[in-house]
Amino acid sequence: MSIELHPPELIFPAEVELAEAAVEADERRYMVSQWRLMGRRFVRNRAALVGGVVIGILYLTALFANFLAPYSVENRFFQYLYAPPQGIHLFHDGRFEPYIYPIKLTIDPTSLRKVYTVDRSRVIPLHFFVHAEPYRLFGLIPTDVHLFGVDDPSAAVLLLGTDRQGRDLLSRILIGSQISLTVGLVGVVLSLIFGTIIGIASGYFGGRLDDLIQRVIELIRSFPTIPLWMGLSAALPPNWPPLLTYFGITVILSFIGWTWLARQLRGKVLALREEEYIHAAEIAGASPLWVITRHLIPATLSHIIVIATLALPNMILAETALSFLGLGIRPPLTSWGVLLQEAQNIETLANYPWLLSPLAFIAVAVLAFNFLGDGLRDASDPYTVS
Amino acid sequence: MSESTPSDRPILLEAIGLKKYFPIQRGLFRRTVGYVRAVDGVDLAIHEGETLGLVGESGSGKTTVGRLILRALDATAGTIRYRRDGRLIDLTALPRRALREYRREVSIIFQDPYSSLDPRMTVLDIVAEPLRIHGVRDEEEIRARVRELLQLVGLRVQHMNRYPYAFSGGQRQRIGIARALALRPRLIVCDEPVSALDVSIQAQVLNLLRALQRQFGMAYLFISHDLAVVSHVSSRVAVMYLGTIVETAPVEALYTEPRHPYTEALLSAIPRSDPDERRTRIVLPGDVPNPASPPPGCRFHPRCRYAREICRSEVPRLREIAPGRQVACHLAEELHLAGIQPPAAGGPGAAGRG
Amino acid sequence: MSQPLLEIRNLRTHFFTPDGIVRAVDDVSLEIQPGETLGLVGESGCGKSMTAYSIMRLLPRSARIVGGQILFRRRGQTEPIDLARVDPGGDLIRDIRGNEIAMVFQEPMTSLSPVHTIGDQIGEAIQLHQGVSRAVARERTVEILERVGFAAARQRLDQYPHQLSGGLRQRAMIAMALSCHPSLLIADEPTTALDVTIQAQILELMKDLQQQFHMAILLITHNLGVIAEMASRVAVMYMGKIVESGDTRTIFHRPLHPYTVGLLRSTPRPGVRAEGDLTPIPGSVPDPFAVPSGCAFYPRCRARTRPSCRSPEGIPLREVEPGHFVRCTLYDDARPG
Repeated sequence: MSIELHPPELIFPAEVELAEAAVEADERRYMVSQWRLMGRRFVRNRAALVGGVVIGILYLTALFANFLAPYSVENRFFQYLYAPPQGIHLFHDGRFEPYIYPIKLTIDPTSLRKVYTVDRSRVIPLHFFVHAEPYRLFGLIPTDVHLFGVDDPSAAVLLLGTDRQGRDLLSRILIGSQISLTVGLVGVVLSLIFGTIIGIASGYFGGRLDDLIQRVIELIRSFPTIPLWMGLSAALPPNWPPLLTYFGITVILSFIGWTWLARQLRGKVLALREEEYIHAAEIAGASPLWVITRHLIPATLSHIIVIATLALPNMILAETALSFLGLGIRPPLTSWGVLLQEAQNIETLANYPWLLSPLAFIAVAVLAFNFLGDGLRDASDPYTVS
Repeated sequence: MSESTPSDRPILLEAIGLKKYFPIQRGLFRRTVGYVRAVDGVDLAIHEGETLGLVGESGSGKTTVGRLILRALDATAGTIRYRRDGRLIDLTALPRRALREYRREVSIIFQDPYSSLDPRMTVLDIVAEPLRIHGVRDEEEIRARVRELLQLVGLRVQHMNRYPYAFSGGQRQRIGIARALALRPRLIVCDEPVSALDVSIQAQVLNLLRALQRQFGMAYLFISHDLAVVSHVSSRVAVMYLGTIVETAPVEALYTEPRHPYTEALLSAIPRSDPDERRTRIVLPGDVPNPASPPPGCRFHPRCRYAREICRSEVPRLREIAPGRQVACHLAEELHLAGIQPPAAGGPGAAGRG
Repeated sequence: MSQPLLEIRNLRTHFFTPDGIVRAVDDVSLEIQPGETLGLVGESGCGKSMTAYSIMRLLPRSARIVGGQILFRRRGQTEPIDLARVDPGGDLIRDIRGNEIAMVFQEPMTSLSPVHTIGDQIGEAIQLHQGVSRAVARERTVEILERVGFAAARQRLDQYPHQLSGGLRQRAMIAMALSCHPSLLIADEPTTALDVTIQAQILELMKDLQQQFHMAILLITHNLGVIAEMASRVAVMYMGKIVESGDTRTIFHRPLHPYTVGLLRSTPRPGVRAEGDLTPIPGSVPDPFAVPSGCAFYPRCRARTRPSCRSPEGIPLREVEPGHFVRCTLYDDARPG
């Protein structure tokens, strides 16, 4: 050996130095809250983003439905019963000038059936921001401006056709979305309140209370849903005003909805209860209320939101099912389910397939909610490595 | 270090005949079919400002003892007495509300630096939580206290608004220590505080705990399965086996001349710290028995190589065999058990005492 | 001595993640002689397990061997084959795995199937690799279980892993690993999840079995005590690189790399209530995405550092005395005698 080898002399480090990682990273990166991390992950998920945008558009549409719809729900065109959807032509003489051709009812001489024929001899221009039937925007501001319409009182713009009574289907779908999209919302909010309180209490306190709650949930869930809903909605007094019925229906929907959330939250809380930071708070003397509001609710909030998003389409479907059976929303209120009720027999379907167009809206809404919910679920755990 | 003999100091907390049975429940109606005797008659005393090491393998009940002492669990039987204003008060007899005062004076440091910090809170909120629970409302005061606490544990004050994920395991453990210190407790239960950390970080945290004790004089109940770690921080050590304490002794005495066969086996099982160290290894046969049906007599007898007839039938009591030394073994006076010869640092003289 | 069983040359295994590349194994060279125990020490995230998975070709999807050789001498063959070039899903590696190189993991529950009995799992491995009948395989299973200290092995053949204690499960896994008499056993933290007394049982067992079967062991652990107990040679890893390697006694008595010294000094010794404190290593392991250039240990190093520590070319692993390799600028002038 050429030189003597010694273990190196080590300098004893100071306490602050000891704790610090020597590599200083960008400080801002470490002050990002859970919600911001979630947001970042969410934005990376294309499908969820599209779902979110679609849902945004749907709710905006519902909000401005009266303005977007050319007619009101009850406006009947007796000359156009079961009229098929009309096409819009966008360019006239090379300029952007949307117009429609009027339709005319004729009788097919051979089959003797009513047939609408397009009269291409006349052009009816579409106008924007037309003054037509008066309504109240957001139920408050009285106005009569509609996004589009025709000036010619003898003609009508019927983009999705009409129903048995000659009512414009597009207008009915748009205005019906107000109820269909909100009945779920109110129902989900109600289930969230019940489900969160009951689920967290069940998981956190455990014991007898937990047993009791779980048995009640099992009992409620052991009933077949549709008959249960039917029974409950049959119990709503028939002489209630439509608005009250509407709230009655939301309560019925949330009657089962909360059990789902309560179960999920209970499981989550059972796992959280064993987290050491919960023990730390308890050992420091925190009350159950403190633990629930400071730790358990924040920890499950992202979960609650995800569950709510995923529960909404079920609510929409449930409302549709009930109304379809004639047990939910009743005319004069209009919802997507009410609209589908008119498409119940095979003859109507065969002859007037456009009556099924509400289905497309339901499907789009449900899919969009599911995409959004899945995206939120994936994003809600920002601490896992992608 | 200005340490007097630990047993000279007044007792801060003592547990007498502490028991915790967890019911085993089966079926739909939760019928109790038996009990897991997690802690089955534990006597121990913690003196003011000392560190009592509590060693045992998994399932020995050491963590449950910690929780019982913190009153996070209700004991099935036994009493815990705690000194306040010169008097020993019985904690097991106190109503829940009266425990609030006690909760200000004890705290805990956990094993898992990940699970022990709420990932949704900033460091400031985590460390301030005990203060807020106990009614400190003034935000300025809270910030000042947190700042001071972070400095004490060697963290940068600027990092107060970070979330836990921004820290390494060792730094997270420091945050947990800052939280435990927030109310200036008189007793901290350290439940495997370094087991989840890498070797180099373990030493940082052990040093920190010792430095804080020198500064503030609180007592530690140091729970660990690692005998080397325990010996490094403790003044006295209690060894647990299957819900009972088998031996309590000052740390040097326990390691050099154990008086219970289980302690002897435990010591001989520690991997040597030097390739040249020669040691007789006692390999214990089998596994720790099920705490739901512990063996009769001495709980260690099925694995004990010295077991005799009396060990199979009679339960040995924990008794004092020398000042500061307690053993629960019928044969304590007869057996000559092997300890660890301390390496060069301890000096050759330390081994030969008998 | 000149015929190593396994020789790893300049192995590089990288992880390709959305956030960047992690050099989990970065230029690692190792040599294991037949029948010896090599200890590979390091803290979590240093790349010691990934080295083992590279040998077994059991890397996760996001990881790839990007360079180097893993030369393994198969039974009865003089020319080694390069495992780094073998198809990781092919028949060759599957034939070697289990048969000639076996592995024991930290958590036996994750590597034993919970839905098959112990007897079936070990028996199947024997049937598969030795091509014997079911009945013969069952007999051999009993035999091997008895050799790893399973009391009443025959009765326990039909037990499921969850019915066994941690120690017995680890024994079952060792039995499974040894069932085909491998020439190399890779043990990845084999006793970390176990209690001290059970750890002692397993370590004794491994020593016994090594002598009986004359197999080499690559022992991966963070526990220096286990190394002192078991290994004849040690390699210390830090951030994907070997920073020091040599004979166990030399490493324990005359460690040269500041990291090794730090590790040894931060380990408490039983029975010594140290008058002074331990000497910890400051800071913590750097972010794997931002490894400092030059010596990766530089920011935590408490020895006198030199400008060359930050050399962008990195620090070479140098043989400072026969058989003792160090990757540190402090010994730039040392020459092996």
